Amino acid sequence: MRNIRSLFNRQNILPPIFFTGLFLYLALHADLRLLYHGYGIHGKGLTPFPVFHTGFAFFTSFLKVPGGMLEYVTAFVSQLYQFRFAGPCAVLISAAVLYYLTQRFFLRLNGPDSSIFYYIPSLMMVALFSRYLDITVVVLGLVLSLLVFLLYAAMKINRVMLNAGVIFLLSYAVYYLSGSFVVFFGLLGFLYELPGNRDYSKAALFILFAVSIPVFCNIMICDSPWILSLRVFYPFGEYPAYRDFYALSGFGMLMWYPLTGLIIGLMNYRFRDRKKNRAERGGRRDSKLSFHTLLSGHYRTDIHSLLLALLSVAVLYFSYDGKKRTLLRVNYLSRLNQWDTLLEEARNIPVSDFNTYINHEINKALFFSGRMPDEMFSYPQRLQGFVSPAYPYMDLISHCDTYLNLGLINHAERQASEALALIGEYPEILRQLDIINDIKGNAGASALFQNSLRTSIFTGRENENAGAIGGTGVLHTGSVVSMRTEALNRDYGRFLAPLEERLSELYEVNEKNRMAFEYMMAYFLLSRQTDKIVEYLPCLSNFEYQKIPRHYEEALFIHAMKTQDSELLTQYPLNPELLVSGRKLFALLQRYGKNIGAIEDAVESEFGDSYYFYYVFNYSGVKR
Amino acid sequence: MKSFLIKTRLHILVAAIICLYAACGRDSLETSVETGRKPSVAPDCFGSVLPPSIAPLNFRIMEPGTRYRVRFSSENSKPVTVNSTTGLISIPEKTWKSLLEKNRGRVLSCEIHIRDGSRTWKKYDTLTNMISEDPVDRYIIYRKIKPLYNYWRDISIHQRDISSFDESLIFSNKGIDSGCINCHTFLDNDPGTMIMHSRSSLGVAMLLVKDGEVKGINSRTPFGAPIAYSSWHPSGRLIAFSVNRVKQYFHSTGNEIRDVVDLDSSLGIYSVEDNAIIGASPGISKRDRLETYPAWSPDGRYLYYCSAPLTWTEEQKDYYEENVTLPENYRDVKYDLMRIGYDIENNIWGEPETVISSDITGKSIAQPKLSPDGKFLLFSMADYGCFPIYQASCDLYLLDIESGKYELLDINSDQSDSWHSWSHNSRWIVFSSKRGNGVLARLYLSHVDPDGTASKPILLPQSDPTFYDSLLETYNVPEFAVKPVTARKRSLYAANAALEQIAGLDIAVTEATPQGPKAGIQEP
Repeated sequence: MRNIRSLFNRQNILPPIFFTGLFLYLALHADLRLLYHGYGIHGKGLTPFPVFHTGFAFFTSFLKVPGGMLEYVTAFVSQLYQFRFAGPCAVLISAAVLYYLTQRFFLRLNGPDSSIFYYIPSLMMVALFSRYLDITVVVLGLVLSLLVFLLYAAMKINRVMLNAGVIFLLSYAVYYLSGSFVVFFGLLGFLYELPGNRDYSKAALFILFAVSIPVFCNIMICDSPWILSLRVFYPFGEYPAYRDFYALSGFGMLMWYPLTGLIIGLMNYRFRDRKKNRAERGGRRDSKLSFHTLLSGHYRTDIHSLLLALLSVAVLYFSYDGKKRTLLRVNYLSRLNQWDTLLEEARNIPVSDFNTYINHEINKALFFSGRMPDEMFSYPQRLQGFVSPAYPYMDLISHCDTYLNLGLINHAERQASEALALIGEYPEILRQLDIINDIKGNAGASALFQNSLRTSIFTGRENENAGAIGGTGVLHTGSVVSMRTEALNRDYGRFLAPLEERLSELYEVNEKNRMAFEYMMAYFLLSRQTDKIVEYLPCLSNFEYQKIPRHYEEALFIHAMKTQDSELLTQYPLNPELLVSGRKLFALLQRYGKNIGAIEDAVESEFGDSYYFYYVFNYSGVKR
Repeated sequence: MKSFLIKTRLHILVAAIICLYAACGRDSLETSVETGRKPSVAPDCFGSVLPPSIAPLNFRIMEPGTRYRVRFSSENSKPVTVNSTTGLISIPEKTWKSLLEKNRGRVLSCEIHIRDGSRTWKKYDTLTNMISEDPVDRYIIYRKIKPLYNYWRDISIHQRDISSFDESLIFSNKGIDSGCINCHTFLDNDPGTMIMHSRSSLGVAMLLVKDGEVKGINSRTPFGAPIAYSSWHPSGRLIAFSVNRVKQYFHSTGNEIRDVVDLDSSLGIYSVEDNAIIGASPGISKRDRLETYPAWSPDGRYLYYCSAPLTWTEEQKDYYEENVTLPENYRDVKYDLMRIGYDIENNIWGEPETVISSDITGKSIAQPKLSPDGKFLLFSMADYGCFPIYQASCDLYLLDIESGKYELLDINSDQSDSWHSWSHNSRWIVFSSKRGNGVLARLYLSHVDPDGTASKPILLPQSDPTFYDSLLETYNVPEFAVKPVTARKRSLYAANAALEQIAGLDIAVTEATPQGPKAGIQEP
């Protein structure tokens, strides 16, 4: 009974509560699926996707290079992020292992017996993940290095040569398995031996092997230039995503161990004489002086729990990047063709957070949910990046998807191929290339991409998510056949022919190409070409519209007012309410003239989601 | 009782052995049923001529079955049998080598037996290959890339020992700040004397390896473009090169999106000894012509090259370049095969002469490569332009230098076949072909006999017969080499980081509109 009670004492219950909290945060709020699907959004540089293929050949290819095994496991773990709970589970396991290893690390270094320190690396790790930085490679490298370090620390070898041999073997093992993490391992060993055990020779051996093994292997065996050998000291040099401020954060997590190790070593060094005195006093602790007794006392656990809770909240609060989450959430919903959810959530995005990429995805959602001609101006709109989002938010995969659905097959192929070269063999890209080649009738190329896709792990799940037409889910033969007929058949001789020209051409090629039609009309609306809207209104009969869409009616009204051609309004069955509101706005315009800006807010609240407002003010008012 | 139990157990054991034998024991191939047809295998590696030192031609049998048995046999060796339950046939390297070595000049037969679900063995018609007596150069050096457009991440040059499956890295763009690396050219198929080009933030470099020394040379020229396609004079003293104002364009329709046009190009001569561009004949650098793809004859007396009339003005050039707009008449640009005489001792140039005119062929010639015995010239010919790899219409043709007759080789496919190289004995060619998928190029080997007949090409073999099925990389610029590249990677990288200037840059490379230096071309 007592044992059971002790299991539930405050000290034992803290880790499960902490890790459960982190898991729920990652699974329900941060949502690592956004990280997985966010590959391909062009920020400061595209992040290469850690490709994972099944099969022995793929596995053995990693055995040939130092650090290959770490890359292999990282690639596998990264695939788990596409699942709601598997990804957070993997992070949770890593965090728990890190917690345990940190505890052992502190014990080995005679560090403070204060549990709050054990949580810090896990907390840092979760904070970085919640910023959607894939630091899997760092975490796994860290875990491996700590494990091997603790293995060494557990050994009691007195013979000098044997000890040197063990340090060499362990350093080489860490280098082979995790590449440059051998430097981290060397630092740990150095700090353990020098300030801790005052063993200068062993400390020197750790540093010697940590430096010489990678340099020797790189220069002498791999024949790399010395500059590349130096790169190994930067553990994630090959990952462009880390070459910014957050690289320092990831690096900080890694360096936390050597730094705390150094502080502990120095403190222990300082207290060594006092410990000696304590031993002389018969083992009684001098509570005023001992480092071990810091943060101790009757309410120690409570204070720790409170501190940990505060620290966790503070870290997660400050690490939260709302803008990035919005961007990735939009991307995620778009990839899964969840158009209605996307549009619903987009209503809550602050206008200041909108960019060409979000606009692009919203317009796509508007089209695929059949709401483009009626609700387009319920969201901020801009002409720039209407079909092609502009730098810095360039999502090649999403570009490809839009072009593919429009019928600009070669444009789509180019985007997908660029993505393949930059991001890697990401399943979504392979699927797009498969579809494109299928449309083009290149059976051989299509089979090639299918084969590659087949060996990608969890592709079944991906296919399931992709759904039917829309997004990249154009998987049915029927769709492919229809897309062939929609494909552009005029070679402009230049890739970036004016958008208007390309969209008109697409519509002319196939008058049933609804996406081309609606995008063309949207382009006319955005470029305020009401005459073109009126010109193409008879084409509505090619599609199954129940009535004239709202924004087209508004454009028609504006055009009629502009040209003073009231007969136009009688030619079509228009919504009387729209005519009333249009007349009201025109009356206001006539009344205020150039001073219309003075009542902009009032106008926005009434007409914000209409084309009238966009036409007058050249931006979308958005009525919330 | 005890003996009864022992006997019973013995009977059970015997019965079990019999059952086991019946289930999976030796099957007799004598009772095989003849199918009367050839089996389908991938890659298609039969009916051809094999180099006597080629690595095992592992393949996959594309016929349904539960067991597969393949028997290789030839006159001077015992038959070799390979069994498989998956249809993947992996031939032991040592056995294969011995088989080929002992049977040079003989036929290699391959009998395939497949056991189906009803446990019946089926025998297919025997497949054969001819083992050539002509040795092949042991190494092929090539570039491996993803299908590239404007951006890239990994580009590397590798060498493959074709007598095994060993492939090693020679140069990677990781060592030059992820720049672009491209053509490599050897003197007499010997990488001991070679050049290689790169473009990166470190500069536009021509890496020159000679006499064990590696030098990095800034290959930017007054033409406004760096040194591109090159050819070693057999003396090793000169390199003929082209400078090309290359522009990549994109088609909005059609199977191949990419297209490349040389808005301007010309030829020049680089003296290795002097590290200088020397004055060449005005005949190879005409203001009104686009000259490219230089290739010295093996005796060094002729420089072959391709040439087309320049049909756009200087202003148009700038417009096409800046607006990434294909010239309107780009399909009319067709290159002739030309040659010009040269006397290296007296530095005297002859007059350019047309070898094959595009007026006659109606097509455009590129990449002339002379066989080292000087008998043949292998070239590619496409509907238009100078960038054959992007044109499905591109095929390989062989010109008999003596008779002046050329013919389309039987080795071509309906996709682009280009980037070819001769072995040092002029009996083998390796080339890049997009056959099979139309997107990614693979390397093919073919034997060319003394009268110019090329054998059915075989795909460069890999240990795993399914290797190419999902490989999303393209192989290009294959070059045969008799020896491996010995220049160390770190020497090449170091040379790339410390470039020497070419002397005599004030001398116009060409008569064709010298320009100030321009930013490096980003397209690979």
